[in-house]
Amino acid sequence: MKKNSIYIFFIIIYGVVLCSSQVIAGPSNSTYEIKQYGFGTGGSEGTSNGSVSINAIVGEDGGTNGNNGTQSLGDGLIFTQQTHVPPPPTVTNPSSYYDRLKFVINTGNNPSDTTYAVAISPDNFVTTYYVQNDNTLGTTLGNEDRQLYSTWGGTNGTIVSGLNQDTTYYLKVKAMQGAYTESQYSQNGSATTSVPSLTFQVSSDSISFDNLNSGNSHTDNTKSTTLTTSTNAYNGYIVYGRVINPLTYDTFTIPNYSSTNSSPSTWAGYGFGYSTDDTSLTGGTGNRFTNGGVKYAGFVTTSPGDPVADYSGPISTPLSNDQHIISYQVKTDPSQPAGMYKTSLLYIVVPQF
Amino acid sequence: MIINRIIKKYFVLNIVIGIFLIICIPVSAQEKRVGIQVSPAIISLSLSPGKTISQTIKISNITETQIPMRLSTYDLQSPDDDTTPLPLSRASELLKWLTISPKDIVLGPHETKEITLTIQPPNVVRTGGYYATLYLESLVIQSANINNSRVIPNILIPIFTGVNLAPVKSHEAEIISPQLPFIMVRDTNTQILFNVANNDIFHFSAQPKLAFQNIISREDFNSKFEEKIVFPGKSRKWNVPFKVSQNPGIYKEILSISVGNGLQKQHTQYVFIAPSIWTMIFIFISILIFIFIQLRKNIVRAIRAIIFNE
Repeated sequence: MKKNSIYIFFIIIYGVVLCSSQVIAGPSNSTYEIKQYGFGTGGSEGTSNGSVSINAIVGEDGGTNGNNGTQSLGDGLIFTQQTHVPPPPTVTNPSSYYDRLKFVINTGNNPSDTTYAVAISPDNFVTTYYVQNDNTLGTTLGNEDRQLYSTWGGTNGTIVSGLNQDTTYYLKVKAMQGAYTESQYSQNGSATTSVPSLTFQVSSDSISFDNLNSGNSHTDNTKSTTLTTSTNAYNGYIVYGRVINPLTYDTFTIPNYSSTNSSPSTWAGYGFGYSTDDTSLTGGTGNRFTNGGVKYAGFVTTSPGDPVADYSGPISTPLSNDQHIISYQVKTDPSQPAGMYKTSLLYIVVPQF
Repeated sequence: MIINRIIKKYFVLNIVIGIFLIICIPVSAQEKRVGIQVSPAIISLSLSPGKTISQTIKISNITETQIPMRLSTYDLQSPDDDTTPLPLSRASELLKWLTISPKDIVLGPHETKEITLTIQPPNVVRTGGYYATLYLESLVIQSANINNSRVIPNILIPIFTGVNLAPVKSHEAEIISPQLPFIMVRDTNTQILFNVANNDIFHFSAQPKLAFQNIISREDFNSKFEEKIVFPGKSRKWNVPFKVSQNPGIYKEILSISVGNGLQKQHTQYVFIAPSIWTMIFIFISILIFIFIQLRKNIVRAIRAIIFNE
C-alpha cells in the first residue's frame, strides 16, 4: 500500500512537472491535463513513463479511487451521455445521376444542435472517404465536416458529387452533440450511380425544298427538322449544326445565308439559312433567334458547327424528349441557274461537361 | 335509304381506309425519322501504365430506319471561352493508345449493338490527364429521292482518362479575374464574371459557390453556379446573372471553388446590398449635398473671388 502511494505520489509530481513544462493542449485544470483523448479511449499517450501510466477510459467512472491520507486520484472524466446512433441515411439516385447521389440524414431523435459526419465508400468501407462540407469526397474528416442536420439540407438532403459511374456507394452517419459524445456509426445506406446515356433523333433524314420559281418568289421557308434529345448528363447537352458544303448543283452553289449564329438577322437577300426556336441558346444572347421575330443565320462548314439547340444544366430530372425545331429558308436570285441543288446537313449532339 | 344501305355495306371498308389514311399521311415515304441511343455517353476511366483497359459501349437504333454507322476518334476540344491553347494537352497521345472494335456497324430497326473501346497505355507514360472524343457518325441511307438534301444525326462522346489518377485528389487551381460587384441592388440582376484556371495535370470539376455573410447580423446565404470540367492548363469562364433578395446591408462576399478532397479556393470582398435603385440615388444626392454644405464657404468665397475679383 505504501509502495503504491509512493508510485502515485511520483506520478502526480511527474504530472505536475509535465504540465508545467508543456503547452496546455487538452482538457485540464490547474494541476492536471489529459494529453490525448478521443472517443472511446483516452490517456493513451503522453501520460506514461517507463513504469507507470495513467489510463482513463473516457466515459467510465473512476471506480475505486486510489488515495491515501494526503493524495488521491479522482474519478476519470464523468461520462457524458452519448448521442443516439442515427438510423441509416436515406441514399437515393433521384435523377439517374452518374457522378453523384443524394442522401438525407435521419436524426434518430437527436437534438437539433447535433452535428453529423458522413462516411462514404465504394467497396463497403474497405476504403473510406468522408463527405466534406463542400459536398465532395475527402480522405480525412475535419471538424468543419461535422455539420448540423439543417446544414446537410434537412429533409431535402445533400447531393454528394465526384463519384464514379455505375458504382454502388455505401454511406453511414455518426452523430455528436458537444464534446465527447460522438456516437457509433449508423448502419449503411446505399445507392448506385447510373450510366450516362444519350438519345438523339432527327424527325427526317432528308429535306426536299420546293421547286423555286417565280410563282413562289424563288423562296421556300416551310421546311423544318425537329431535334429530340434525352439524356441524364448533369449539364445537359448542345446540338451543333453544320453543312458539308453549300447547296450545290454541278459547279453552281446557293450560298449559305450571310448572318452568323452569334448575330442572326431578319431575312434579307438570298441564300440558305436556318432559325431555331431555342430561346436560351448558348453562344450569345439566348433568344437571339426569336426576339423581335424570326431571325436567320447561315450554316458553317467547319466542325463541329454552330450551336442550334441546347439544354443548360444542371438537370434535376433526366431530360426526356427535349425538342427543338430548326426551320429553314432558301431564297435564290431569279438568275440562279436551274438544277437540283443539295447538301448534307450534320447535327452533332454533345453531352455537356 | 339507299345511302344508308351503302354506308352499311361499305362500313368496314370505310374504317379500313380511314385507319390507312391516319397512319400513312403523316409519314412521308421519302423522309424517315432517324434516332440513336448511346450508353455510356460520357466515358471516364482511370489508367495505369502498361495496363490495358476496355469499355463496352451500347449503341441502339430507336427508329425503324436502318442506320449504318462509322466510329472514329478525335481530340477533345475545350467547349468554352478559353483564350489560351492547351499546353498540357496530350489528347493525341491517347488517340495512339485507343482502338475501337468494330469501327463500322449497321443497326437494323430497334437493334442494339455493342462496341469495345480499348485503351493500352505504354509502360512508361507521364502521370496526368488524357482526353479524346468518340464520334458516332450515322451514314444515313439515301432516301428514294437522291436529289434531297440529307439530314444526319451524330453523337460525340467525351472520353476523360487519367494516368495514376487518385480516386480523391485536390487540384491546383485558382480563381482569376473575378468581377464581383461592390454594390448590388436587391431583386435586380447583376452580372457575376470570373474564370477558373486549372494549373494541375488532371482535369477537375469546378463547383463555384457564392456566399454572403452580413457583417452585423451574421445573416448568411449562398448560391451555387453551374458545375464545369476544367482541363489541365486551361481556364473556363462563368458569366452569370445573379440576383439577391436579402435584407440591405454590408455583406462579406465569398466566391469559393471546390478543388477536391474538401479543399477550396476562395476570393473574398465586401458588397453593399442596397434596397432599391432609388435608395442609391438618394444616398448619392445626400452625399453630394453633404459635400456641398461642407465646402459651401469655400465655394461662395471662390464665386465672389471670380465675380467681384475680391
